[in-house]
Amino acid sequence: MLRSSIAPGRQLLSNPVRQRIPSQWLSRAGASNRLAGQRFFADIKPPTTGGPTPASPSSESSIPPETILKAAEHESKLPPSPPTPAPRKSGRFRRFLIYLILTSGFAYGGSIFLALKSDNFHDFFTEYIPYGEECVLYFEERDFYRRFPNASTQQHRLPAATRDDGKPVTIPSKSGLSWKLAEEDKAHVDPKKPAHMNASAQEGQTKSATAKPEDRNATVMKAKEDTASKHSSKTTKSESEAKNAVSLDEPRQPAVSASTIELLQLHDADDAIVQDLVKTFNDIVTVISADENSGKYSAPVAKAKGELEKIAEKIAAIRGDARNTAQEELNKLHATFDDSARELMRQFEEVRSTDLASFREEFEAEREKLALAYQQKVHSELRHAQELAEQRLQNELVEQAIELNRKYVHQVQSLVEREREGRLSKLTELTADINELEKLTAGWSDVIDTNLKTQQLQVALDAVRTVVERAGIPRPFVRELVAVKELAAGDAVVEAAIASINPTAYQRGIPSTTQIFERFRRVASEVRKASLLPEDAGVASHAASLVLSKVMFKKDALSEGDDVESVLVRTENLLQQGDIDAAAREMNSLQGWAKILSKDWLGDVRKVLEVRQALEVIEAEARLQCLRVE
Amino acid sequence: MAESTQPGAIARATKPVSEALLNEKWDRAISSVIIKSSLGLSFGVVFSVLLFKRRAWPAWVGLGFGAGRAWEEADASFRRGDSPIRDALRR
Repeated sequence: MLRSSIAPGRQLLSNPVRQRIPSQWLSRAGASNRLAGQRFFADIKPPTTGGPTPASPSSESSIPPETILKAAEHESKLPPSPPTPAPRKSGRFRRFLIYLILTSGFAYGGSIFLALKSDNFHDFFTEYIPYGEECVLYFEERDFYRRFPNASTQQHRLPAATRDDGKPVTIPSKSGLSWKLAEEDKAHVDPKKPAHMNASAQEGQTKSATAKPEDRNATVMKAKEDTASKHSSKTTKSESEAKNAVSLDEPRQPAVSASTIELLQLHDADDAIVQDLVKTFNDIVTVISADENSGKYSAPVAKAKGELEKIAEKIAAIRGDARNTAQEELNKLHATFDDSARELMRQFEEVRSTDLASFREEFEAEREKLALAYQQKVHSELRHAQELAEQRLQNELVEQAIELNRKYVHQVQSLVEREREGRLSKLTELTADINELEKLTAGWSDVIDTNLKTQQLQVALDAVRTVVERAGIPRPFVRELVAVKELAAGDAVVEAAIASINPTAYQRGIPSTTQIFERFRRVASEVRKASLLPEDAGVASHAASLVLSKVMFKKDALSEGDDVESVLVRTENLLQQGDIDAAAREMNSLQGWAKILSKDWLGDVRKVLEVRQALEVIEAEARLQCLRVE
Repeated sequence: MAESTQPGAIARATKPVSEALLNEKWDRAISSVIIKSSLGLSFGVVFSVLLFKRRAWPAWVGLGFGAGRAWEEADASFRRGDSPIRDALRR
């Protein structure tokens, strides 16, 4: 809204535009808010439609404002209005000033309007815009006056009342004169402080109404005295008062007796009825005195006065009687009350004593009960303690029993152990004997074993021997020998014997004696051929020996020669006898070619001899073992 | 005996039997005499035919050379004892 209002204003501040704005505002204000619209009427007095704005020289503008109003939209499209024919002499500064004022005016107007409409903007405006608060306040006040037109008087009255606070204190003194309502209006109503005066007057009235009859009487008395005094000389009071007093006093003048009546009444001031009577009577008297021919009524009045006095006396008498009776009753009541109080006291005492007794009894009973309970508790405690002690004793007993049992068991055990040890020693002896026996049997079994072994060994040896001797051809006897070796089971002698045998002997076997003999014959013929050879013989010598050996003589067996022929014969003899060993020795004595030729045969014989020796050794060993065991 | 000869033959193959040593030497000597004498004879014959107009003496000389050579070898082998066994047999 602000924008819509200000934007065109900035666009051109020419007359037509400025006239358009109020219309716009008016329409929108009327539509949105009635109050605002009203406010705007107040605000936008100066730019009334049709009239030229006082600030701008738009009166001379070529375009009449009415046409613009009708075609507002068309005008917005129009190019900016031709430059206003402003006084060019004063120049641009004046124009600027005018624009400035107008702009600020619109801005202020718009913002005031907005501030009146929205609270947020109001806060903003009053806080940040200079003189914004004053403006808004002014408009708000105006609005307020419009709504409450008679607010101004009240508004004026209230602060006045607050201002004159001290004065009314004096007035309540005269408020007691309840019948002088007119006077109050005339004399005391101050135009400046009516409300408070009224209030104070009312206060006084209420006070007088609520006041005790004595007070009222006192006030009346005062008034009378006042009037009396006024009648004598005092004229310091205001004229109206004086007049009033005179007007009241003068009719009373003839009825001076009234004062006597009232004096009479002083004796029983308490009686309200009498007072009322006096009052009415006084009124009548005043009325009568006010009348011109008061003299007529003076006699009846006096009579009435007398009657009244009588009545008053009667009343007083009655009252006195009543008082006396009341006093008597009171005394009686006092007595009865005292009696009853005494009685009550007595009763109370009795009750207290009984209560005391009962309480004491109860206390005793309670005490006894407590003592009983305590004793019971003590008993139970004692019993508990005893039980505990007994339990403990029992436990100890049980422990002792257990201990004894244990000891007994220990003793029994030790005894048993001792006994057992005694017998065990015997048992151990027995077991030792048995062990010895076992050893013996084992030894015997060893003997048997060794015997068996030796037997087996001998068997194996026999096997070897059969293989060696009885075989037609040389046969290997490795298996037999292995058996022998195993049976010997690490016998050093046997092993040594076996080791002494040439490996070729048991690998290929050894020739039998017959074979050896046959081979000897062959060897012997060859040796005989070479028997005549010299030490280092050539072909010729060989051939000579070969030829000559044919023609040589055969020698006897018993020949004692060192030559080859005799050796051969002796060897043959030995071989025939079966003495291979000697034959081998004999052959070994050969020299030269004869020895070379008989070398193989000798080796064979040696092998046989070795084997035989080994076998014999083994056999001897086995036999020895048998002997050793035994 | 046939069984016994077999191992003997085997033994002989590896190592000649000591008693057959001289016999072998003899065998070798004779064979060498024959071969060498024949060789010499043949050489002599060839020489005689080629050079000496078929005369006899080159043949005899050749024979003599061969026989002499064989003799010498045999003699050496006999003298060496059993060592010729290795030389002659093992070669």
